Amino acid sequence: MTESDPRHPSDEFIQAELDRDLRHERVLIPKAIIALAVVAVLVIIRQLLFV
Amino acid sequence: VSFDWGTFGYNTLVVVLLILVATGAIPVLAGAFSFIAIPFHSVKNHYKKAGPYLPRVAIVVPAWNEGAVIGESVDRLMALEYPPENLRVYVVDDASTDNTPDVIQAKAARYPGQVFHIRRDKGGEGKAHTLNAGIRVILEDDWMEALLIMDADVVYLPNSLRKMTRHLADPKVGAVSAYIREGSADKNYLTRFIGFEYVLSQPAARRAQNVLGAQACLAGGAQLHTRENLLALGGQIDTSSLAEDTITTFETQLRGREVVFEPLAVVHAEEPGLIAALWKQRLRWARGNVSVTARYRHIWFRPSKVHKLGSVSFGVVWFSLWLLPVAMVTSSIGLLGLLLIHSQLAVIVFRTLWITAAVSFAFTLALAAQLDRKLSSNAWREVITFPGIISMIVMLTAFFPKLTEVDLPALFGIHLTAGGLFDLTIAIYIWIPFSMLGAYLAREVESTWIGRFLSPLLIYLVGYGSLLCAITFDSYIKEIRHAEAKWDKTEKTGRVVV
Repeated sequence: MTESDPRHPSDEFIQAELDRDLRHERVLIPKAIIALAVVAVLVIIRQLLFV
Repeated sequence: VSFDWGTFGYNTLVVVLLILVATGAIPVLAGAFSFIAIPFHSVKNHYKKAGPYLPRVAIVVPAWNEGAVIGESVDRLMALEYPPENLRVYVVDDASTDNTPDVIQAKAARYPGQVFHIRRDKGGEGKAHTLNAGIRVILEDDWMEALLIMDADVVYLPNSLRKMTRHLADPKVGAVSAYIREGSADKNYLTRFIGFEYVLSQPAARRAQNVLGAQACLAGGAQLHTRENLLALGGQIDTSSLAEDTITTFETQLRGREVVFEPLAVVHAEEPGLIAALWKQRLRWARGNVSVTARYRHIWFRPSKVHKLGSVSFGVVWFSLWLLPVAMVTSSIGLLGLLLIHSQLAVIVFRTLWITAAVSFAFTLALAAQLDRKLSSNAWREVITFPGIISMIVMLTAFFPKLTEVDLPALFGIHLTAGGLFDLTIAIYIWIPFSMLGAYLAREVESTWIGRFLSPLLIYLVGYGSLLCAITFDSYIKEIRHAEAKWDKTEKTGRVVV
């Protein structure tokens, strides 16, 4: 996504950027799942080796 | 009927001690609650209400002896990916004694009609007074549609302003804040800790605040207001406290306007590389928060249809941060008390509290590290040791008790006796309050010959969080003593890079 004159971005360009940023926020869900997986690994190690 | 006063007294004491321990769980759970809200930003955000909007933006830049940085800052602002005819920069020179006026006047000549020099002959009254001098000039005509408040040393990424203004397309929004990212070229352990702290407090916590509907504070160096919001605030920034940014944020929301955090609008800032400078800056912030807490006493935990500042979730998160040092002390007193009266509950309660803390920290750090991968990979040591190496050992003790009490000592041929184990347990239970003393010691030795090595070592051991708690604790003492609350500018030297 490029704009011929970055100092005068068109409405279409800004809207496309907005849509892309909206989609970008969806990665928060897999990131949270990864963080939960880290916690799960800690709990599993505790249950297997230290209880 | 006989009444056993001894049992009654013992049980009462146990309940009191349990309540004290529970105070330590509240900040942990509040932090976890905030971070659990973050993934919901993928569906509950302001992007759907934002739209293409490029208003006429007046940028007000307070400058006191900023000759080293102000010229480049102005050049960067004029090169933003934003229509130049919709940009004006007003540099308010707060009675500088260096070459700041010459630099600004040279820029005003280079960018006629776009860069303006406003000189204050009497300076040193604080940032809010300086900003107001510029705002008065800006409001003299109708040109300005949005006002950007920034610091002289911060560097806006080229697309950052455009990403902020799009939220103002929604008339319900009063102000937008950007992500202030630590951007010093010559990073050290402290700026790396601050960098990760900013990840935790901005792209992480402020996303959660977007979800929960109430923002605690607009970034001092990157806040964009609509003209209507500024006028509703009286056309000026509050000068009565050291927390003008927080007061502006609260007043905006109390009037029913939304405050939005835009995590993808990035602004680089220079942060202190010495504990003494950080202490001075954060003490100012902490004392400001004391006045904010008292000033808005009528809104806490009182839900309103106009704003979300009175919600229970916002109140719990606010007070958890503000009273964290108190909770650390009371929780340790509770644990120690339970241990000394030989309550069976001591071990169970300790494990429950610290396992909760360990799980919460693991989730928090793992999620935040992914929100700014470049910064986190450069500061991986500080990410891992953020709670402090000793606190991590305490967490390990709670999570894997055999590991620290049996396996690790056995590696060194040590077998703990019952007495040794008891002493170790006491040390673990009371560690948290002592970690604040360790942070204080790190500041005290910093300027000595040994401080170059000992101060970083102490901060890695006690944790950066304990350093912030120690500063908050200091703010309590200063408030109790009614110490003079004066505005101290954090020294900036132009170390920011993009």
